Amino acid sequence: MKSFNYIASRLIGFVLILLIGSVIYQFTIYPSIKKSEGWLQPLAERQLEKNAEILYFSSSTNKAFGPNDTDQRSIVQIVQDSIQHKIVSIDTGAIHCGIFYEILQRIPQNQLPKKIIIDLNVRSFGNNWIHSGLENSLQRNLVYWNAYPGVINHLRASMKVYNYQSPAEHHRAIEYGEKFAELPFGNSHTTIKKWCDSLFNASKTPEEGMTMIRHFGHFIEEKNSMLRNVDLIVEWGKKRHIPIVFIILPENVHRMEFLVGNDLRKLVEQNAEFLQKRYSTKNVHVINLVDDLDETVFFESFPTEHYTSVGRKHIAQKMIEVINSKK
Amino acid sequence: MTFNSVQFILFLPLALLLYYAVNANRRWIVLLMMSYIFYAGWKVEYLALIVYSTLIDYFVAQWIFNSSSKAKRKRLLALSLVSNFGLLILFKYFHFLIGGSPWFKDLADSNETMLWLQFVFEYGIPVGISFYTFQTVSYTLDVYHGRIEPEKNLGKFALFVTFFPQLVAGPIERFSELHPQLFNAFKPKLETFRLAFQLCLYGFFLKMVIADNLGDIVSPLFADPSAYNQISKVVAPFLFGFQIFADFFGYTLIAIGVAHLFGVRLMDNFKSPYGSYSLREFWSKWHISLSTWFRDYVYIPLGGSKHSRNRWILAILVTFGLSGLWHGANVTYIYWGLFHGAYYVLEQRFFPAPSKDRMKIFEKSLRWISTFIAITFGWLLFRSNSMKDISHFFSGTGEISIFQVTILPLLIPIIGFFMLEILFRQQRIDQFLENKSPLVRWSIYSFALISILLFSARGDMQFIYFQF
Repeated sequence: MKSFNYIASRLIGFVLILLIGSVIYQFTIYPSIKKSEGWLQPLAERQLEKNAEILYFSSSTNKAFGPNDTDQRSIVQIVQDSIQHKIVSIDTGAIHCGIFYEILQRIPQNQLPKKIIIDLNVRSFGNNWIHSGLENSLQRNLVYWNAYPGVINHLRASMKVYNYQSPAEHHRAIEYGEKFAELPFGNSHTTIKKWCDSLFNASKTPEEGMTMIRHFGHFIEEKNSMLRNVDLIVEWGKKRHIPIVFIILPENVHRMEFLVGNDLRKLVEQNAEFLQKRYSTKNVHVINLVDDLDETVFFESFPTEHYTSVGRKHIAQKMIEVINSKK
Repeated sequence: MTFNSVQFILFLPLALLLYYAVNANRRWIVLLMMSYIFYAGWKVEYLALIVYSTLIDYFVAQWIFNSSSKAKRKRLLALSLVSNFGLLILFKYFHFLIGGSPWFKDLADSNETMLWLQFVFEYGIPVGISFYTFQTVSYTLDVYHGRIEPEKNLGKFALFVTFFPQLVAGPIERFSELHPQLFNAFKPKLETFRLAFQLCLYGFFLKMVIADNLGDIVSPLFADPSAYNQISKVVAPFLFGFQIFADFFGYTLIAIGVAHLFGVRLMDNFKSPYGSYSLREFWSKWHISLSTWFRDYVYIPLGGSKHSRNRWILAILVTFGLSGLWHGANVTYIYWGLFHGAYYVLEQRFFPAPSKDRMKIFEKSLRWISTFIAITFGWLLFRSNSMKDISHFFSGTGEISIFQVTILPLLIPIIGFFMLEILFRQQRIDQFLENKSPLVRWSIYSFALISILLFSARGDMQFIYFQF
């Protein structure tokens, strides 16, 4: 009995401290932490509250870059100006289908849209995107988006109770891919490493070309982890009878061809075709724009999907067509 | 799995339940099984290395013990040393010694097998390899020198190698100290749990609040020192000094606390090292299990202080240089070790510290400040990624500052940490709290617990010593 009292009194004391700490945390630190760490939730919720008929999942692609651009409207604004249906976008840098799926799961039943349009970029299926330095931060962000008390969310984030991989593991995965993942070429470009090495010896300024190879030099196969995320989205839409549209974003294929030759362009187009074919057979409407745009429409020489108003209007036009169609 | 993970928080009660549930003379089997599961929590394939190391030292020690031929015993010892250090070199120093050299790069470019080998050996350092290698090597050396008799039971020897609380980052225990404790008939008391709670709570506070937050502040600076302003560059090595202390001391306290639950008393690895008045004193209080290992198995065999002055200097420099290399495959670690060695030699040769009782306050202050600054300069060498990065600390200045408004709330736990360390003096938290009133005890518990809830960091920090 003495032992029981001893243990019980200490357990009660322990729980009391936890409760006091939890209350202090909830009302002092949590609001600012949630603002800095859980930014995805308010961004998504604000958009979802608008009860859109069409939900557009994009990323920084949606936005205007550069003050000299003739039209500063985002893709979604251009679309909205031309259609009757209400469309909202969820767009922030570096998000991808894995995050889109998490957001979809959190949409309340009474706010489900009638159609979902999703940007797919071929680059996001490569190791440099899947294992990017931002991934842990994105996954941690999701921790703050649930109903647990603030202090539990904080401890979950602190103890890495989310899809966490250490920076070293991410780095190793990228390195492994570059050294050993085989590319479908009969020439010397059988791995990213070999391709970069050959470029290094052949070009006086190889860095830009090597960056292109590292970001686009992957062959999308069935075991690709990003593909699983896309599959989950398709399943989610099927279960709720919500049509999904994928837009395979334009890439700077002309620049690629100029920098490293035709092989990389062919690989990017091949990957886009693979995605188009794979999801068309699953009754998803896929619009393949991968080689639709000219080099001048891209803002950066570094691989991005950031377009001038010409590019954004082109994507917007395709979206308008699909929204107005019966598909 | 790391101590500050949900996996470990689930693993530990399960391990304890199983351990206490079985008959006392079979508990070691449970402990061995749980230790392997714990280690496999990182990467299952790493188990092969620890099993290899266990088998080599188990058999070699038996053969050495049973052999009467001195030459044969020497050959067997060499076999153990080559096997253990060979493994360590392959997995820890491959890139530093071979993989990074131009000739090997050329070879790997033209040969697929070499490329594979390079990737396997640069796969990432198997966690804890430096710690268990040193522990098993000390066992074989102790058998060779006749200090201990080898363990006859392979499983029991395997437990000495893999005992999970101290497996991945020490303390590096000696066979004569650890092994008998693993098989004692142990009955836990309430006091056992209280002590483990105190050690683990303070350990988690040090790791999750102090070390990880300081790490989040200084890591970006060490990644690119040229971008930071001068005041940040001056302060960063000091902050890192406290980060590494809180990180490693925190880990050690948790290890000691968890080991207590299994009836094992691990050695203390730290005794307020930053209160030292000389580098010699610092090394008697910092990572004690490693420094005594180097003293017993490197410094003394090299002659120690029993020969000429030049030989003593050589022994000191070699010992510290190897200690630096033990920490990692980078030239900065070697410079860190050599810097400590050189400072140690100069200090002992020209300014040996008298006993504390004979020092006046001014001398004490001067010695403490100079020692602390020397240690901090050492941390600059230790933490920097390259010699070029080190040069950025002394030239040019950037615009970014590590002092931002967002770190202001962290001052509460950090000031609390300093106050507690001063309060504890050279005692461990459990020793300090032993005779204290419930009010003092629960005040400290509340502070540590609420600090963990409120201020634990959310960044990418791992236990620093897991990489060594």
